[in-house]
Amino acid sequence: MTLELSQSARTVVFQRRVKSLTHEMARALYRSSRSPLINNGDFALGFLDARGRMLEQDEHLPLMAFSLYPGCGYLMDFFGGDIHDGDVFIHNDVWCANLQHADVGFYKPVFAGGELVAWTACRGHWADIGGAVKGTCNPEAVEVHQEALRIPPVKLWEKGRLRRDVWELIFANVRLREIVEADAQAQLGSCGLGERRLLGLLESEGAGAFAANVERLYDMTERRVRAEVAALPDGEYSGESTVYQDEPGHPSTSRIAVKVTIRGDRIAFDYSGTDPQTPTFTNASMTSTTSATLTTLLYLLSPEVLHNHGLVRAVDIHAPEGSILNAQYPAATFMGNKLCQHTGEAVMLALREALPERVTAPWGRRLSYRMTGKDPRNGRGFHDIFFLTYEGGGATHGVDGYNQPGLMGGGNVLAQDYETFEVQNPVHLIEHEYVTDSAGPGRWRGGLGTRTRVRYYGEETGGSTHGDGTLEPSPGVLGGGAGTLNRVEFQFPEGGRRNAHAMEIIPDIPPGTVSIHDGGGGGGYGPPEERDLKRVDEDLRNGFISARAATDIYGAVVTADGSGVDFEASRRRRNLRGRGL
Amino acid sequence: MIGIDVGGTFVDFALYDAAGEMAVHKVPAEPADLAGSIMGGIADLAAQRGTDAGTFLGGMDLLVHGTTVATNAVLTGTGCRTGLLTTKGTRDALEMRRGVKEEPLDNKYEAPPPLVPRYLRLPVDERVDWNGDVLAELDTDSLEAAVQALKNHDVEAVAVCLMHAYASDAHERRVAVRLREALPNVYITVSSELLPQVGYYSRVSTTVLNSYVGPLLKSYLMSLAARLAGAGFAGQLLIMNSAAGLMAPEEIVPRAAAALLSGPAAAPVAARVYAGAAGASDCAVIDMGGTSLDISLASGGEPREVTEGRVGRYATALPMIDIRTIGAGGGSIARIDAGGGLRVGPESAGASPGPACYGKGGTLPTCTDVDLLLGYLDPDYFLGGRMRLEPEPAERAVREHLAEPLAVSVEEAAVAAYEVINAGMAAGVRDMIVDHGLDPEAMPMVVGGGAGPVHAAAVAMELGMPKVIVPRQSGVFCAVGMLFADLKHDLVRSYYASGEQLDPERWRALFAAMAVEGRRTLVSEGARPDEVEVRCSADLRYLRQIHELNLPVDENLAECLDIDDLHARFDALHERHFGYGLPEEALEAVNLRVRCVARRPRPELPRIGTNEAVTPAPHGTRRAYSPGEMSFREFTVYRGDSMGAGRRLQGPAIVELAQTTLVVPAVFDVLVDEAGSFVLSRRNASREKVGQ
Repeated sequence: MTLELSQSARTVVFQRRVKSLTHEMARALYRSSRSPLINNGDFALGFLDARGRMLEQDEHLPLMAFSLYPGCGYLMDFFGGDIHDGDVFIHNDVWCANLQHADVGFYKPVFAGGELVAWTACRGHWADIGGAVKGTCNPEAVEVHQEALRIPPVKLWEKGRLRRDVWELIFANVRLREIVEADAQAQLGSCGLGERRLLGLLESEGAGAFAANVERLYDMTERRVRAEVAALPDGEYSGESTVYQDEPGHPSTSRIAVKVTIRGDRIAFDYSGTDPQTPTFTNASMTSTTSATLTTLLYLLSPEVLHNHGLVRAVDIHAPEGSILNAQYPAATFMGNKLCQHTGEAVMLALREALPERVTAPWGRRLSYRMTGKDPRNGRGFHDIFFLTYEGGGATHGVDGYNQPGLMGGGNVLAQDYETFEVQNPVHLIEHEYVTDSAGPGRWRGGLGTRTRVRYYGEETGGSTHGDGTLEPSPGVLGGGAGTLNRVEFQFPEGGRRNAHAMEIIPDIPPGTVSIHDGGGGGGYGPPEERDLKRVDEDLRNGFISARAATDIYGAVVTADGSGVDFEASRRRRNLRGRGL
Repeated sequence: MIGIDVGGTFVDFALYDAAGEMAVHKVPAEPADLAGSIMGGIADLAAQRGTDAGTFLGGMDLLVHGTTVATNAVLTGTGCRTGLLTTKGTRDALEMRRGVKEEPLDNKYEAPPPLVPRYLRLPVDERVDWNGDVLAELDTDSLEAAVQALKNHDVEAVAVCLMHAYASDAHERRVAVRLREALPNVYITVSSELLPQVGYYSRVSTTVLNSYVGPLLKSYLMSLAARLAGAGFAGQLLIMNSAAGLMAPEEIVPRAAAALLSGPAAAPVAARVYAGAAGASDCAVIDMGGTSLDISLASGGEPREVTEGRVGRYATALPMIDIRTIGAGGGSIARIDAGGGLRVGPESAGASPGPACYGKGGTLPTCTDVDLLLGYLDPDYFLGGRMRLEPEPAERAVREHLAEPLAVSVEEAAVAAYEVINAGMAAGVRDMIVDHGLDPEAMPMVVGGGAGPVHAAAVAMELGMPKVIVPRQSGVFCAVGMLFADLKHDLVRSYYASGEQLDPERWRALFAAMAVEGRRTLVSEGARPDEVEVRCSADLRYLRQIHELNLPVDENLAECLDIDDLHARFDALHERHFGYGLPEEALEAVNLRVRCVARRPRPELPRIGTNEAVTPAPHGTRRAYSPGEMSFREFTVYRGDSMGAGRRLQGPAIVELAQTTLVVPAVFDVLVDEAGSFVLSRRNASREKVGQ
C-alpha cells in the first residue's frame, strides 16, 4: 500500500527545497557582484509563482523582503500573453510598483512544457541609475524626473536573445557603468541559475504537484499568521510618528498616523490621517509602505513565520492615495524607504500598551551619508556609503537596544571594514567609537550611538546626507528616555565649520576636511531607576554611561573613585526615592 | 602511533601499530582532568596488549592529539581575562562586529558579549596608513598608560592590533617589546605576527580569540606533555589544528586560535581516507549526534576550508575547516506549528529526558522515536542491545503531538516527520556543497556514527548523491582521521596592488620569505627539508570587487610573475565559480599565501578479513518504511559487525551494528569494502561521475 505523505510534510519539504535554491542564487550574486551595495547585502531575490505571487526568497535587507512580487504582478498585467520562454524583464520604476528607483529588478519567467510555471527574480541596489546626481540620491529632487531613469518593465532579453538596444539605452543613462554592468550581469546570472534549479525541482516533483504545493504553502503560512494574530488582544490602537524634512531653506514635518485593528484572526493597518505627499524626495510608494508594515508585523510574530504570499494575504493595509505613504506620480521617492522607520515606530507606539512585552522602543533614525570623488592614488573615481555610522536600536522588554542598526535601518548589511575602507577610499578614519550617554535610558536602555570621524584627502570630493534624527531624538517607551540626536559636522582646513542638514548636498569637501558624524542612540524601555544595578555598574565601567547619568538618571550611587556603582548605597537611595523621599 | 580525540563526553583513541593493525578505544572524558582521562585510556590500551603504560608509551613514536580546550573556553565564555590594545579611536571595532545582526527580524536578539570588555580595550595613540607610512608616531605616554591599566586589572593575556599593521608592523613591534618587558608572565598576541592580513575587524577578532584561549591551551599542553614524558613517552607529540594540519605544541601555543577546531577538523580527513578507499576524491561528511548535525567537505583529497570562519559566535580569519552545524539530531523534537506545518528541531530533548522511547519520561516525539516507529531500529538491539527502546511512549508521543493534529495515522505521521528531517538535512548538505562551488551528484557522502546512517541514504537520494559510505570505525571517526593528517604551516601576507602595479620582485620576495619561514618551522617539527611541499596561492579579484578568490600559484609563477598568465588563470577560476570571467578587467591582488606541508607516511587502512560466502545470512526480516517508494515493506535485517570484506547485499535492508544502524533503501546495493566500510551504491546512478 502506498501511503499518502501528509500534506503538511509534503509542503514543508517543498518549502525547504525551494529555500535552498534561493540560498544558491544569493551565493552566486553575492560572490560575483562588484558594487559595495549589492555586495553588502542590499538585495532580495527568489521565486514567484505562475501568478506572480511571492513564493520564496533570500532577503538580506529586511525592507527589501516584500519588494519582488508587486513588480511581477504589474508586469504580468502589462504584458499579458506576451511573456515567453527566454524573456528577461528589467524594472525599476516606482510608479510600476517598486520600492525605490535605485533598486533594479530582473524577472525571468520559467516555462515547463510550454506553460509559465514560475518566475525567478532578483532586485538589487545599483550604484547609479541616472538622474541629476551621481549615485542617484538627489535631495533637491521635487519630482521623479530629477531622480532617476525610469524603467517600467521592459524586455531586456527576448526569447533567448539579448536586446542590445535596450541594454545600451539603459547603460547610456548610468554612471559608474562598469561597476553597474557587472552587477547587472551578476543579477542576470543569479536569475538564470534559479531558473535551471527550479526546472530540476519541477522535473522531480511534477508540475501538478508543484502548483498544489505552492497553494498549500500559502494556506499553511496564512493559518499560522492568523493563529498568532488571534492570540493578540482585540482592539483599535493608534500611534503616530513625525517625519522631519531637515533641508536647507525649507524645513518641514509630516505626520504619520496609524490605526491598528485586531479583530479575532484579522489584523489591519490603516494609515488614514497621514499627511499628504511632499515636494521633496521623501515620499513612500504603496509598495514601500506595504513592505514596511509587513516587516514590522514580523517583529511581533514568531520568527518561524514564512515570508510568502500567505503572509501578504493575511494582512490588510490601507494608506490614502496622495499621502506621504502612498505617493502618486510625479513625486520624488528616493528617501521613501526611510519612512519605514516611522511607520514601524507608529505601529510599535500604537501597540505599546496592548503588547508591552513584544514592542520595541523607537530606534535611532537613520542618517545616511555618502561621498564621491576622485582618488589621487590612482586617478579613479570612488563612491561609498557610510554603512558604519550606526544609530542605536530601540530597547525592548528584557533586552537592551541593539548597538547597531537593528530594526529596518540595517539588518544584515555588513558595514565597511576600517582598513578596506581606507584602501578603497581616499580618507583616514580617525575615530569610530560608541558615544557615552547616547543611549536612551531605561530599565532596558537603548542601543548606543556611534561617532565616526573621517579626514578627507581625495580630489573633487562631495558628500550628501539623507535621513532624519537631527531635530528630534528617538523617544523612549513606558517610562524609558530618549536617545541622542544625529549630527554631521564638517571642519574645514581653512578653519570654518558647519553642521549639515539631514538632507543636504555638500558639493565641495577640500582635502584636509574632517567630518564628525554622530549616530544617535535608540529609545529606552521602562523607568531607568528600575534598571538592574549590575548593568548600571557595567555601563559605567565601560564608559557607556557617565557617572553623572548613573547618579541623576539611574538613581545609583557611584563609588568615590567614580569607577563603578556602590551597590549597597544605591539600593538605599533607590528605596528612598521610591518612597518619594 | 596513536590518535587521541578529546570530545565533550568521550576521549577516543585510534592506535595503529608497527604490524599495520588498528585498534580503537573509548573512555569517558573527565572535564576537570582531561590529561588524566588520556593517561587512563592509554593504560587501558596497554593492558589490552598485555603490557604496562610505560612500555607501551616507550615504544610509541608519535601521538597526534585533538583537543577541545580552546573551543570549550570560547563556547562557554570561560577564557582568560584579556586586554586589547588598539589604535586610538578604534577600540570598539571588536564589539561592533561590522554592524551585523544575525537575526534581523528578531527584536530580542542579543549580540555575543565581547571577549574583552570595553574597560580593558585600551587606545594607543599612533597611526600607520594603508601603504605602511606613518601618519602619527607612537605616543609612548599613551602606551605607558595602557600598560599601567593592564597591570591594574591583572590581565592574563593581551592582544595587540593596530591599524594597517599588515603593511607596517613597526609600531606593533615596539608595543610588543614594551609589553613583554612590563608583563613578562602574560600571554601576548601581536596581530602582525599571528595574521599579517588586511581586514581590521577580522584581525582584531582573531588576535583577541588567540589571547583569550592561549594561556589555557598552553598550560593544558604543558601538563599533558609532562604527564606523557613522566610515563615514559619519548616520541613526538603533535596537535591537530583547525585546518587539519599537525603542529608541534610549541608552534601551536603562540597560535592558540588555530586550535579552535582541533578535534572536529579530523572528520573530513578521516572521510577522505574512507572515500579514497572507495575510489572517490570528493565527499561530503555528516556526523549526526543527539542534538545536531555537523557537515563538512573534502575535495581533491583535501578538506574544504574557510578563511573567514566562526567559532561559536566569534569570527576568526585563520584558515579552518568549514564545518556547519544544523539543529537536526536524534533528540530533535517534532511538532506541528500553528499553521499546521510539521517542524523538526532545533529544540532537542537532549540526553535527559531524551526521546520518548528511552522511557526516561520524555513525552515529545523526537527523531529517534520516529526512526523506531518506522521499523528502522530494533527496540531490543539498539546500540547492540546495550539500551532497550520502548515503542509505546514513542507511539503515544507521535500520536498526540503529530498524528492527531494532522488527522493521519501514527505511521503516516512518523513518515511525515522522517521526510521533514531528511529535507532539512539535505538542504544543509546541499547549501554547504554549493557554497563551495561543487556538485552533490558528483560525490559520495561519508557518515559518522549515531543516527546518521538511518537517514543518510534517504538524504543522498534527495540530493542525487550516488554513494553513501559508513566506516566501520565511525564511532571514533576523528581519532582515526588524526592518523592520516600531515604537518602543516600556513602563512599569509597582504599585498594590495592592482594588476599593473604588481611588482614581480616583491611578489617573488614575499612568497620566498614565507616559504623559508614555513620550511624552517616544519623542519623544526621534525620534517626532512626535502619532504616539505610549498603551496603558494594568491587571493585575487577583479578591480573593486569585494570578495577575493584564492588562486593556486605554481612554483614557476610564484618565482616569476607573468601578469597575462595570472590573469588567464584567474579568469578560468572565476568562470568556474560564477559562470563568467572578465579578461578585459584589471586584477587586484589582496593577500599572498603559502602553505607548507610535510606529508607523513600514510598508514594503510587495515584490511579486514573476507568472509567465505559473498552473501551474508540474514538475521531476519522487519517491516519498515521504504524511502522513495512511499510505502512500508519487508526489509531484510542483517547483523553487520561480523561481516567481512567483499560481502554484498541488496536493499531494502537494515544492517545493525553495535554502534549504529544502517538503513538501505530498495534502490541501493551494499558492498563491504576492504577497509570494512559499508558502501551503499545507488543502482542506475551515473557512477562515472564519482571520483572525477
